[in-house]
Amino acid sequence: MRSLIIDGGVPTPSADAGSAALMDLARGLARAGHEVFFYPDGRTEAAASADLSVLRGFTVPGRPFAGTAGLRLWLAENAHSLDAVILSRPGPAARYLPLLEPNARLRRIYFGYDIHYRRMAMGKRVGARHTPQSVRVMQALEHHIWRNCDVLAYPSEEECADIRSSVPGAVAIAIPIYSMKIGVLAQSEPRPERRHGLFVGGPAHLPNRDAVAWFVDEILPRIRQSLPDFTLHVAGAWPEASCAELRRDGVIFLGGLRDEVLAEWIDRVRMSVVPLRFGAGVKRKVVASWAEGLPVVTTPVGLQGLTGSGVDLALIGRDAAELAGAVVRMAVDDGVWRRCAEAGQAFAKAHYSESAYDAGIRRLLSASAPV
Amino acid sequence: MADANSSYELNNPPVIAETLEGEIVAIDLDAGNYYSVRGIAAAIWSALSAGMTPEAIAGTAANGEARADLLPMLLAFVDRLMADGLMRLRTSAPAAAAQAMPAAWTAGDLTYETYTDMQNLLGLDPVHEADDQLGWPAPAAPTAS
Repeated sequence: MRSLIIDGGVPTPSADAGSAALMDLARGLARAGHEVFFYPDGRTEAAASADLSVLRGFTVPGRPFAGTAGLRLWLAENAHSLDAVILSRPGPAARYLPLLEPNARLRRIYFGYDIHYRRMAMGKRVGARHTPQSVRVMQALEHHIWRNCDVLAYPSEEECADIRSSVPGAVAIAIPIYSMKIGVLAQSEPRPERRHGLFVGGPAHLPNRDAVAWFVDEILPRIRQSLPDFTLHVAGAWPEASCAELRRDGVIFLGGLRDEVLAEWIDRVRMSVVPLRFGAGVKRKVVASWAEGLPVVTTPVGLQGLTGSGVDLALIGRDAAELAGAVVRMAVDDGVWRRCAEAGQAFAKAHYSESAYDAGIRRLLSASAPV
Repeated sequence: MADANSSYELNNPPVIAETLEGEIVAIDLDAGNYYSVRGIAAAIWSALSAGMTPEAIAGTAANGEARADLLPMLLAFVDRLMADGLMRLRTSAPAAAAQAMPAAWTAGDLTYETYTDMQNLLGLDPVHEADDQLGWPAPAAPTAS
């Protein structure tokens, strides 16, 4: 079995959740017995100088970084032997679809991290600078992709239902989009001297930028009225100009961290804080925290696609005051801390362990099988 | 020049078009331009896309009465669609039967809006090429050489 993945550029899994999800997919397909080809789009000098070592173990076909022209000839010669082409990110997906003539064997799969236009529309409501036209264009792009792919893979049933409602007849299935190693509980016992929080995410994703700014301006001051020493550690490649703008007492920017260094920080804090005001899809930072046994304080947006288990998986705040109160409660109440840590890790194990992920891949391949 | 008795179709690829709450959103994926088509123009766009000739469209609108003014306006509209690369002469069989047409139109009805600032949304690698201050879809500023 052979699959081709086409992405917007070379994945940077340590820097963005979308790249991490795509690499999880590539490895999952390989475990399922597929020979995996990976073609990075990206036509700028910066894209072409990206580190290709992340794609070790996979074959890069055609002439990478030459856009559709770099893949056209290879596809003409090899499409007949492919079982699936997986497209991700709306702009690149729409540009590559015309190269993929439907045939009896090849299935066109769109791997969607979230419904982009829903996220952009939500962002407008809290001041993100998306024009009405850009939201409209994104909606048209995504509807076009949904209409012209054979199977759509999204992280939650909520999103799949939204798609089927928007494009009747679309084949949309929910699969876990992250594969997590489930660790032992991050801390066997919560330690009072570690009453701090961790936020993981970079500023290229607008919801992350908004989350940290909102936390710094409105939530942190409230927390520090009860916990004067509380500190939020922000892991991600934030440029110095942004750090300078947001830096306060109680906020430390750690920079971009390798996975093993991030794991050390998870051991040093009490909770993951995810103050997202808008977004879509399942948040990797939430699932990753649970996998490590680190409890989460977040908003309803942070738990999109992750509810319905009947168990309280996190402490939730709907506004700045509620979120500040939730952070303080998680910091001082050891019983709440343990319940959330155990419930979150059990949920991650049930739905995002490697075995759960591989079951999702099998469902995707089954839904994609030629009729 | 558009011909009254020819059929036309969406110039796909590189143009895609979706109807969203009555508005036709057309995107040229190569040029990065976006077009918004509404009202009577959207109805006529749909009829052209389905394979109706300009002659048939004008005739349907006129309900059999002689309306010599409709066809020239329609042909000018088709000329503009072709000049913008949105439509081309049809290469495949027409898709659907005749569609309901508005009763008549003026030249002012046969128009659409063009936006040329969407290239970032369409061509940009959203993760690696986005501005690290503004985020996607703003492109990263070019580095000084």
